[in-house]
Amino acid sequence: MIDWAKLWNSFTFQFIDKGGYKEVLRGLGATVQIAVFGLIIGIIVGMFIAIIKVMPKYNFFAKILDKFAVVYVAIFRGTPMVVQLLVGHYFLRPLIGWTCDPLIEAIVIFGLNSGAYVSEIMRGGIQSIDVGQLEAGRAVGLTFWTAMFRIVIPQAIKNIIPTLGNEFITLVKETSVASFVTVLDLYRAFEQIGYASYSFLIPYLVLALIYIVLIVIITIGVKLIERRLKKNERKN
Amino acid sequence: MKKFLTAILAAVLCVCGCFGLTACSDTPTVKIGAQTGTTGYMFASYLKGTEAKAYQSPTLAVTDMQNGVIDYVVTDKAVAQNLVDKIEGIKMIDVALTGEEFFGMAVDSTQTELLAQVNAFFVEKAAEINAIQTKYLTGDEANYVAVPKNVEVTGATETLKIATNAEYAPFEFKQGEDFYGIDMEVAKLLAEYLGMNLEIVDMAFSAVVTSVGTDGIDMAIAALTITNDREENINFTDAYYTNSQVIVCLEENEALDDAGVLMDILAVLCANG
Repeated sequence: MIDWAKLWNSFTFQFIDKGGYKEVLRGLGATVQIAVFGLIIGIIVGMFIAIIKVMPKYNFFAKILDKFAVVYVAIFRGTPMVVQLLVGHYFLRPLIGWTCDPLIEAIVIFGLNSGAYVSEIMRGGIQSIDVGQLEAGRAVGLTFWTAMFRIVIPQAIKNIIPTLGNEFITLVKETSVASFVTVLDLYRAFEQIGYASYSFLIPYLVLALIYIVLIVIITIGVKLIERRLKKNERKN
Repeated sequence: MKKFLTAILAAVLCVCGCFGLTACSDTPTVKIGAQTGTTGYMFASYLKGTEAKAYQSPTLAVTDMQNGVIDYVVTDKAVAQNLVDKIEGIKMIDVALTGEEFFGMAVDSTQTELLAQVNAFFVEKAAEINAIQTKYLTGDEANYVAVPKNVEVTGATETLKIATNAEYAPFEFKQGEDFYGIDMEVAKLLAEYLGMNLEIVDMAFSAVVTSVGTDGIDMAIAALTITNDREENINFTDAYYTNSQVIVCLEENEALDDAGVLMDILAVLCANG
């Protein structure tokens, strides 16, 4: 039998009397920042990697870029997020003498990691658009990049919005490993609250609840964007 | 589309720039690192005008201090001494940051008899426990005794299963397959006193306390500090070790060299607060 009154007391003690809600808000801020900016960096990086991959390999430069893209994706998809963070924090950071806040470091690494995944999503999106579209653009005298950005990418993005939403959700949940490089994210905030009184039950339950609420909000957001982008479609 | 992309790019650069400016500003706040969930971290997070950074272990915090990410590390005095002995270029400021703290073991709340036995053990074997502590605190490595994962005690039928996080020298650490440290040798002594076999389960520090009472784990022995808030939820034994928090900093950092009492240290750390 669960003692609800005791659980409630424990909740108010940890989150209100001891000021736990402040840490939660700060952690929520860090988590959202990492996920949102990580996704933005990821989309930009991923888009260029995807274009490089679908680009016709007619010259030496394009071939080199293609090899670079393959290696990039292999590195960032081939190692766990935690390992990337740790290598970045304890090895690369002293190596290049970077002194920024670990939050920015986490944003950059999450962005680069996400870029590898988004590049594959984006490539799928670009290849789902009939190659005739690009050829038509080229035939009327547009350059490859103009045809890409004006014709193919806008249609591709519309197709991949659900998958991008998926990637965003993964990113939000993965931020919980940012605490390995001292970022005070949502997970770390709840861990601290638990440690203060060695009572982890309520903090972890509330943590799960907050993640679910976050994800539901994102899901609704993605739905709205999809509906907005479907406006120009024929309704059958 | 181009305008849209440019707008996004501009926004990202702006925000990143702003972050960069605030994070790398010329008047940095004092950054203090400590292991997550320890009383040292709590001390650091209560200070005004400083930034507390949580690490997985004190050693990682020291590594980051050498990399220039943080300025000071707060940790238990014995751990600090051990780090200073092992790692070059750091020093300990020997001023207690908190009042006396006491380590206790966490016992499964359903086993009241075990709790009483452990408390009796502390009284009866005080001299032996003291000797073990002195041995590790003075770094008398020749006399360290290895404690294997499973200790067979002659004539024992039952097993005392304890949880620990063996990354906290000199209290508990691993060399090869064997455990060493104050807590580990005390645990062995306890098992012999109780006439039980000993089984040590090594796990992440965050799991140690919650594991007590599950999976047949009877006790947690992992340099746990007794506090009022924690006593609400955990069945602590009496104290078996007296501890204090101290600061570790780089050798070339002379800001705290003249500090004699806590107020001197606070005056330096909280200068911006």
